[in-house]
Amino acid sequence: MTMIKRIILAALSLPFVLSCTVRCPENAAKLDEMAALSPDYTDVTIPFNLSPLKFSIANEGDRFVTRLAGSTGGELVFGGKDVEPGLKEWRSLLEENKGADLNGSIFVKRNGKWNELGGFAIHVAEDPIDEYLVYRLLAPSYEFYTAFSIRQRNLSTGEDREVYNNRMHYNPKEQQCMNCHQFQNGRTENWQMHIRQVLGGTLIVTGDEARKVSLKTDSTISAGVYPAWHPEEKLIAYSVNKTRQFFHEKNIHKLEVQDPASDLILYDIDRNEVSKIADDPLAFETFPTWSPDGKYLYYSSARQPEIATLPSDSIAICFDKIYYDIVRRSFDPSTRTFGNEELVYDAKSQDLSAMEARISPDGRYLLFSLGEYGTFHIWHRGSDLWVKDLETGDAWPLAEANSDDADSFHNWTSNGRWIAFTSRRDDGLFTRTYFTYFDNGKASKAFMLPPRDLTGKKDRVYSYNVPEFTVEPVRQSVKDLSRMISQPAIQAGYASK
Amino acid sequence: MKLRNTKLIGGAVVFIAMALVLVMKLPVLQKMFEQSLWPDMTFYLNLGLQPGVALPVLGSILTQIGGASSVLQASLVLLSLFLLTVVMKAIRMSQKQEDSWMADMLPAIFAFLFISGFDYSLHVFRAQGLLYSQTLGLIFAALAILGWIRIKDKRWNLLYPAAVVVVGYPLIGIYALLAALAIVLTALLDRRWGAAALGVLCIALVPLIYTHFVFTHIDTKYTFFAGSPYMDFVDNHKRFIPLALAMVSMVILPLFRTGFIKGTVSRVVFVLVAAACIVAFSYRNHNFHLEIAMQQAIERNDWDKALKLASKSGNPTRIIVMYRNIALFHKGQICDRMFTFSNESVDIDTPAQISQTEVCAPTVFFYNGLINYSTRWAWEMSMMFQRTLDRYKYQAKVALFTGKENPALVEKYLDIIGRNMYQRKWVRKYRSYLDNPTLLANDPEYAMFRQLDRFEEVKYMSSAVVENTINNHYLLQENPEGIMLDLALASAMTMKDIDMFWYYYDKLLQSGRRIPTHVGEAAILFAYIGRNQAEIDAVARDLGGPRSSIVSKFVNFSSEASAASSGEDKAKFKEKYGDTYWYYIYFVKDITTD
Repeated sequence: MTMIKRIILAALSLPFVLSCTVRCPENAAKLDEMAALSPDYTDVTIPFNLSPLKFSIANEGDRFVTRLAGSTGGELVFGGKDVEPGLKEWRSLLEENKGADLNGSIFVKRNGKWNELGGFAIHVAEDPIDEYLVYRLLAPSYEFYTAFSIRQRNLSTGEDREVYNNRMHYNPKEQQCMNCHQFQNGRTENWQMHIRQVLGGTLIVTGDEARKVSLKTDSTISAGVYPAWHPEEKLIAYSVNKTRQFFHEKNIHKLEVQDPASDLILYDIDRNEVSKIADDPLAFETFPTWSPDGKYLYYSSARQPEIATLPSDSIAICFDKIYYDIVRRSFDPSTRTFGNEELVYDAKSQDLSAMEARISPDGRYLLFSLGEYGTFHIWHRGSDLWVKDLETGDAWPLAEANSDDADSFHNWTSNGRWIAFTSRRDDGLFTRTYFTYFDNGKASKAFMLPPRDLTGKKDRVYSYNVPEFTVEPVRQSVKDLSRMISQPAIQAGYASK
Repeated sequence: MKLRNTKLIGGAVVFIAMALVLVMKLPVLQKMFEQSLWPDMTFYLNLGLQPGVALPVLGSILTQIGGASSVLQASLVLLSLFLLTVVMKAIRMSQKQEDSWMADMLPAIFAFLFISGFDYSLHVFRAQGLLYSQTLGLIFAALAILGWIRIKDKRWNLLYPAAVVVVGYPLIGIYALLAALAIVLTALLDRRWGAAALGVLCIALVPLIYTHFVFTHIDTKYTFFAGSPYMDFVDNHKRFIPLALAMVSMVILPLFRTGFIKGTVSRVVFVLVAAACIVAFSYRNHNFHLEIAMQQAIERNDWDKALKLASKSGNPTRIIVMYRNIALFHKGQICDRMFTFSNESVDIDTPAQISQTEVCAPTVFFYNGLINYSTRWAWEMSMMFQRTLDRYKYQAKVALFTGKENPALVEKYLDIIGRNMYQRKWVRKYRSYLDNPTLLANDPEYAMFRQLDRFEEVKYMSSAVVENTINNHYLLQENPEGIMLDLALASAMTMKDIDMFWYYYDKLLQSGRRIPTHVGEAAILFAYIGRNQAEIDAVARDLGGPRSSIVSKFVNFSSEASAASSGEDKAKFKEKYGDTYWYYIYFVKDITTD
């Protein structure tokens, strides 16, 4: 071995050697003060296959030592205010403590004396979380969006890569937006996303093929908006929405997004054809989702207030009087016909609005967000996650996971034990993705998707939204998608029935 | 005069011309600093990782360093241009061109014209650190060319152009390609075919390889422009002609093996032409510079300074009018003085499509109490163009003033702002408000905001056109009091809305407050227009009787107006009544607001 190699090896092993030397202080005085972590990972439930939770200690102190001791074995000890477990030892600790707890102890040195803060526990669930999360990373602007991206996080390793960014087709005169990425059954073989404005269209990826289509027809009010892949068929239900946004002068909500009109359509990928599912002119139908067996289409539906039948911006006058219920229609895949609308969750009678229905993979629970009014709960501070047991008919809020700020845009993992959702609880503006463990109808205290860097500064003025679980990585590179998006959009046909 | 002295004097003349122009543009240099954030590496790592990444980073750092004072900023700009000239000189000296000072100045002169051409577009720059980034690019490229000329080793000769592209392209983008191009051209002149061929190959292929594998955030059609402000260039070509000329001159100057500006007369002519170009082609629109200076005064709450600046514009833009009104109502004088200033409305002088909203929305909305709109436009501008220090400051203050936001949001903004040099004091002040609400309550801006916050929200209102939004906002208040009533009256007068004026006039009478001068002028005029004698008498009584100064002056005005022929007496009336509402209503027409 050459001298240079020896030096490099020694340098690389130095942190390991140093970390091995950290010892928990003996005879530390116990304090009543509780440990404060940023992000807050105290007393949360995490999946055993989660990437390392990195955190900073928010308590005051001159020196810090943190111990994470598994109740069924294993221990990690860290020195310093910032705790960054290595992937291998972290996963090994979690594996060893499946179904058990990691007991956290934090020691702080103040005025030359070591003290032990009140401890915390991290429960390690035996149910795994889906390996990937695809999300949008963007700043909270309203009409302008020159730089944002769709990214993919490997939840097991923490690796975070870009799926696509809108600078790939830069045009200073016209922006490019992309949204509503969605995957069939959480697999990445079949998925879709919308491209708006520059090179606009809906990108439909099916296996190795990709097609960009224009779903706006003369018979529908817009191109497809909120998508729902049928779990088995090559069919996608979309809402079609005329969307308006308007800005409050002083209201803390700042912004309202409301649809003066919305319907539902069904897109047949093989036939490249759309047909109408629901187009009641006096109703707003939006946010469709399929039941896991594909036999029901759930969605939110509101009756138009009388004043909103007036054209254009009159919706802005009555936005806070629009209440959505959750309804469903049966679906026969063989004939591709839908049944009549059935009420599933009555929010209107409570002067509330229920949005974004998501059915648990076992078909038992309906998960939705419930807010004061309207459709876009991410801007409504009162929005909370609720579930309805479709067997018993009972509904309740996921109180342990909810916050005082907007909680919305939720999704189930493929095993139905984890829910990802977005929340503005940290600072009221920038949404972060949170996870909660769902066990027998009860949620656990939610924990934040670990930021890309320990301090979270990398993303501090960006929002994470539209978290979608997948069980495998997106198969296309940024350049692949750029090429696919470059192709001209094929016009979809319209089938009257 | 000795030849050597001619050269030195010539160079000095050119640099003095530059310095004089910069003195006139000191507010712009200060504004560049106020926009400049300490380079946010997370931005570059997230979404801004493009070839040439070193230039905006270094440009931003230098802008920060120069931010201590406008004079230091101007000095640093001149120094960077001088450095460019020195390196060009070194290149040409290496080629044994002894009489080349004038030519050596060409890239610096063009680079200066690029900087001194900054106009309204500085509000909407997408590229960061532009005050220095392009000059730095030129300097680095010229150094690379100098290295090539100085290298004697033949092996390095062969690899050098390739190394310039491979190492330089990620750091300085297009400037590495330009340097390589200059090297290839000189290699061809020297018949060094191998180096030239390898250089051409690298120029053509290396950027494509980089953008395919490393720099995925660049639209490939801009591969060869990376490092230049191409995102701004596409929008407005003409603004970048001087920069293109700087690049071209840097590439071709090393090809000249003999000096080409010879003789004292030629040099004198060159210097005079260069100085004239610097003066003539620098952007020195009076309103533009006033607006920037007024905005800076407003942000310091220096209302007297803002008004003093406003009085310097005989033909203001509506931005100046809005800024001036902010200063007036903060001094409690809006209805007494707003028409004593010029209220003409000239367009903003820019060839690019830049709206008044893009220039002033966060400021005007903030100081009119519409802070939701202020923060909204600060974000919109940040997204569309770039995140800037001044936009973050509005975000921080809005988050703090609303009182309902999470303190974590305020902390987040303060932390970003606090990374800037010279901003620590500002951050300390606002951070102390978080800990001590009493301090916030005593903040003059917050106190004014509390007064302006006394309104019922209108559920829908577009805020895309700033002045209309402001006026409509005040005109939609049912029961305004205090300063809100003043502003409602001011808006009614500005909009020439007689019905709304009477509505608020009655409110004013009910309040028992003194009738401000312009309100009195408007009342007597509108009563006269309505030809209702009882109303005229009533207003005259309100104003202190028929012998009151306003009524007496109006009697003179009305008799002169009825005797005057239409339009042609504008100048005469301006002289006599230019400080009255009457002049505004008859002679100020077609307000240009976006």
